[in-house]
Amino acid sequence: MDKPVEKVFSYIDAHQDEYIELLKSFCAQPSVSAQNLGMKEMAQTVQNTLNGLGIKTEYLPTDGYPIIYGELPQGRGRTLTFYNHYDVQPPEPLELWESPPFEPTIKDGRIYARGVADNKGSFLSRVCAVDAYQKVCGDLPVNVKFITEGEEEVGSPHLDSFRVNYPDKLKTDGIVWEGGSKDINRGPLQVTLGYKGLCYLELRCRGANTDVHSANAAIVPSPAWRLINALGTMKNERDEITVDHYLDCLIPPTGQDMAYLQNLTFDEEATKKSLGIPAFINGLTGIPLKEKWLYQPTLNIAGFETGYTGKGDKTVLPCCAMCKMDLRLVPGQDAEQAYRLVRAHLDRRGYTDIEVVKLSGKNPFRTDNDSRLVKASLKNAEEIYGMPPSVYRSSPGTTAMGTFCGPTGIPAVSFGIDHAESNIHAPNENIYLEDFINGIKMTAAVMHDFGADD
Amino acid sequence: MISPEMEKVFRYVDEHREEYIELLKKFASQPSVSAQGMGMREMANLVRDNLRNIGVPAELVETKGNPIVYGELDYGCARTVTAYNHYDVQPPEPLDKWDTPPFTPTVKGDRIYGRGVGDNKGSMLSRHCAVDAYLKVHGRLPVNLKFLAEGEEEIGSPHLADFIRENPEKVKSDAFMWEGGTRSLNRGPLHVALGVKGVTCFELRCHAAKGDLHSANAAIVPNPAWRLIWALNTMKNEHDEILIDNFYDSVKKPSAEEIECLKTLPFDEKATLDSLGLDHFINNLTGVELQKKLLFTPSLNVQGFRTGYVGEGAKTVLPSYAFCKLDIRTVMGQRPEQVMELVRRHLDRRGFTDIEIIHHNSTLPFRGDPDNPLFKAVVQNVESIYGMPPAVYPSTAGSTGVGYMYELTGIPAVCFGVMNEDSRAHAPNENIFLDDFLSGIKLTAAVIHDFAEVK
Repeated sequence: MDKPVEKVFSYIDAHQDEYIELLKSFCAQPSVSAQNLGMKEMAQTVQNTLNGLGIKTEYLPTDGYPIIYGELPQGRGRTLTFYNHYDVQPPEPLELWESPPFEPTIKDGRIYARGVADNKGSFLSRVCAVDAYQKVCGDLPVNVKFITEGEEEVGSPHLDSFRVNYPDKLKTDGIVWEGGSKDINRGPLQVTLGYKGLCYLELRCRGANTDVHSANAAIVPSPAWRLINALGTMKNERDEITVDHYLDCLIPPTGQDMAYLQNLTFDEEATKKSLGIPAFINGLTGIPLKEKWLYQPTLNIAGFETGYTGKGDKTVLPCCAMCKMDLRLVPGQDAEQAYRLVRAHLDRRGYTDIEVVKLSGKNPFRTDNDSRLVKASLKNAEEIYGMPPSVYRSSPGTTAMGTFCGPTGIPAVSFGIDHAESNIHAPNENIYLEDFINGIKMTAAVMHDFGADD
Repeated sequence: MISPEMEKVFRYVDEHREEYIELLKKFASQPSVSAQGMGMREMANLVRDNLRNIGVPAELVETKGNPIVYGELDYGCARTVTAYNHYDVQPPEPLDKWDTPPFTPTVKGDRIYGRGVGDNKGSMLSRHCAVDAYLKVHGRLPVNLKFLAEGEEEIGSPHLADFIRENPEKVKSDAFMWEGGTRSLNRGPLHVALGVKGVTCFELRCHAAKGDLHSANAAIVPNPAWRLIWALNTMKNEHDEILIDNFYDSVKKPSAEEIECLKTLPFDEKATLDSLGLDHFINNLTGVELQKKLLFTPSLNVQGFRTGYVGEGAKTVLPSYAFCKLDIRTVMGQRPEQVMELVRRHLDRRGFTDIEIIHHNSTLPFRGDPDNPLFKAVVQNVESIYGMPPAVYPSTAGSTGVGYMYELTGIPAVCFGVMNEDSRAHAPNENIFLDDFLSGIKLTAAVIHDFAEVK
């Protein structure tokens, strides 16, 4: 390991208490975007903290909560951006917390508080890395930018306008994305190189102008059956998506993508047991299971409602039916195209009367495997955590990474300070203090290698 | 021809129009939603008390569910006719679709709106008021008359069979005026029905993971909503053909006479489509084929389906539970247990053994005999009251408990009542024409009068 990084690591170790105090002060400030709780105060704290590092910050208002943007030009050849968010999930249900959600509490090597994992801990691991590097080396090895939004937990509705309105601020050579976790049982660090996209649709079908007595069911068209029959043409019992041309454009995983799966730990028995299911879809196991999980698109029914669903029976023929679907997308697909294929599929089968409304869309993205940022992240994860990282070529979930990186091609990598039982979005959210400190070191080392001469 | 005796009764009915309408409003103001257990005891008391008010000794007969209101006028006559009705109503939901509150009966123009005014409080009161008017004018009836009003018709009459078995003397009769009935749109002919379809209500339930999950897991964790969708798709296709294995095997085909009868039925297809806001019936059917499908062919209806998140906006959830409520309208030759067994076998054969079937309530299909005296008494009075002959239906599309009654007692039944084809029974803005309510009272009175004599 390079000498300057070793010194930075020593500095971080020596200043652990100071950094943990900073984390506690951040977690003590509520910032619940869904409930408009403490958002202004938190944005101000973020801005002040970045200013304290000598970063030139801007408070960028949006139609929702502001984005705090900051940049620290160092006259370096490369620029590294840290994307994070300062908002947190609502703390409810409060009665399930063992310590108050906004009173950070240290117990058995862990710190408990809402937001300590998602995403304040990871955000501060970036902040503290910059601080330690500056204190030891004076300058940073890269130009640094911070993009910290306040609406991630409500779907990042204004991130795309940031991309469109501030192309110069987005300009960078790589993004360290949000945060990340570790495998269960204090296993290896997870490094995520991409995410599935998401197209969220609502299908609506209408029949008569009123619910009618079900005695008429022999002759009056039923929108519920129509929607059921239409859905029956879109996916079969083997879980194969049968929307016309839906799979035509998928970019298949590469040999390297498949190789990543080999080293990925996934405890199938423990997962089935915890979910209470006898088998995964199609009885899949091993590599084919992981491949479907991470590399295949989905067509999920998130909700369906029609007619009478209360107690007992109501012999009614409902006049409308509605289905919510979320479609996870993989490279080769995009949200608008997925919507259009569903529309065309229905039209071709005469279901022109079924309305399809696109409620939201995020495109899939995978970072170039060979990018400098990927290499720097993988190398340092192994050195700092003592074992090779679990590389997620794609997460099965979705973030706004595609919003920034899809149109620009900027490489992005996610890693952070969570662990498998961090309870994000749930009561008793927590991280290990050790993971927080390691996260600071990891960020510092990635900065260092990313900026180093070849 | 209206006899002088009946003219007096009809005049009495016309003179007391407002009083009878007030009574209907009073009945429709009292919620009595059996599916939700709302207001049932209060409604039963109201029915009993009204019978007593018009001079009919009446009581509540307890069942394991809601009580049956029973009343009897026994003059020792040769013939006895029974008015079967029900005092429960369908749930009023969806409330936001009502133009006036469902339990605040509202007269607008020549109609009255309210849950239950058509199904079945209006028809029930047409029997009560007929007896009231007849007694006021003539002092006594020419036949023995029984009233039997149950409070569980809308949930499938689960305790009617017990009542029939346990109370043979109360049930004994020569014929039933069964429940109610309708007339064609635009004040078309009154429908007199000799039969009904049966109905079998059931629920399909499918469970997967222990709790709802983040939909990122949808690629590998089974979704119960999809399983239910796939299972339903094996049960009916886009052409409305029921695909349940062996479903049609036992169906008794209608006779040539019954098909012939369909040709005489008034059915204004265009007006019906217009009133529903539709441009076609299923499979673009029309004419006799449409009638055949409606009256003689079983249907498989989705009453309701619910899974996952159905609120505003997007929630990326993989549901752990889905359920679907269905009803099958059965025809002669089909029985509820047999139909449920066919559904179970059909699902099992396709691997849907994990889908649970909950059999709710059922009624039997029924086909009556046009030779019975009550039918004649009804038919011969319709023209003088409604100004046109009735439309005789070998079977209606709807279902009642009449099939079980006939199976257990062998007593024939005829259906007629105060609704019309735009009455929106079971739906928001249920309504009837006030004139039809008055005509229903007159027809019932005339039927009581003639039933004593007719051969």
